[in-house]
Amino acid sequence: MSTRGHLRRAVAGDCPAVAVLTQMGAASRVALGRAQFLWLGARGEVHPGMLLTRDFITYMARETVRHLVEEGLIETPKREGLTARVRAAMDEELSVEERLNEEVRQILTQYAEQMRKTGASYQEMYKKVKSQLARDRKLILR
Amino acid sequence: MRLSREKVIRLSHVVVDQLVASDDVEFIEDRESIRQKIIALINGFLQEEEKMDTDVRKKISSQKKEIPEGSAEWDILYRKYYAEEMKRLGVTAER
Repeated sequence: MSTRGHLRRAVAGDCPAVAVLTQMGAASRVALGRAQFLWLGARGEVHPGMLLTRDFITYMARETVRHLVEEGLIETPKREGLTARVRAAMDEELSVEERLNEEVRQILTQYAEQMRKTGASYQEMYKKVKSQLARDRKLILR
Repeated sequence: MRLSREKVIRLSHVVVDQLVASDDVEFIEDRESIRQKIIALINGFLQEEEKMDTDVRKKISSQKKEIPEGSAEWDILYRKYYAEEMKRLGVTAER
């Protein structure tokens, strides 16, 4: 199957492309470079690791603030500014896995030669490092 | 559901923290009630999102021609119909 075909399977399965990419040949992985780990969500947008589309996060933030104000739980004279801050905070929390993935990639790049020599599986190391960092930092990924 | 219960709870704290940090926000209800309300709202949004996803998939599968999921055409249609759903919610696509 072609590289594009594998990525499409990631789209179809709504799964992290990395799981699919383990089935790809080494040459394809090298050719893909950084893009190999992009998560092509079912929405078809290339947004690494995002759980919800950015448009939907915008909607959630806007509606959250609207409900809180209109139902009288809070008052604010600057609803738009508050919505923007809530949106940014939601976005940051929902992209925590995306940032962690990037960090793991960078760490593994530093150990690429060592891993090659010892024959360590990239996928296994990726999983281990990622879960360790998530545990250490008490992150909730999804 | 696309997010776990734990993630929704975390998000509720994140939003409340943002409200607390904002000088221009006055709390009418106590923080915990507001946080519980936020949890309920987020769960509602997630259900809405799931329904949107289902509707978009149905729309694609109801086309005259069979479009295999994962094909480029399916991908394009998904994006198009999803954007239409978002527009219906009053959100124009960010690019």
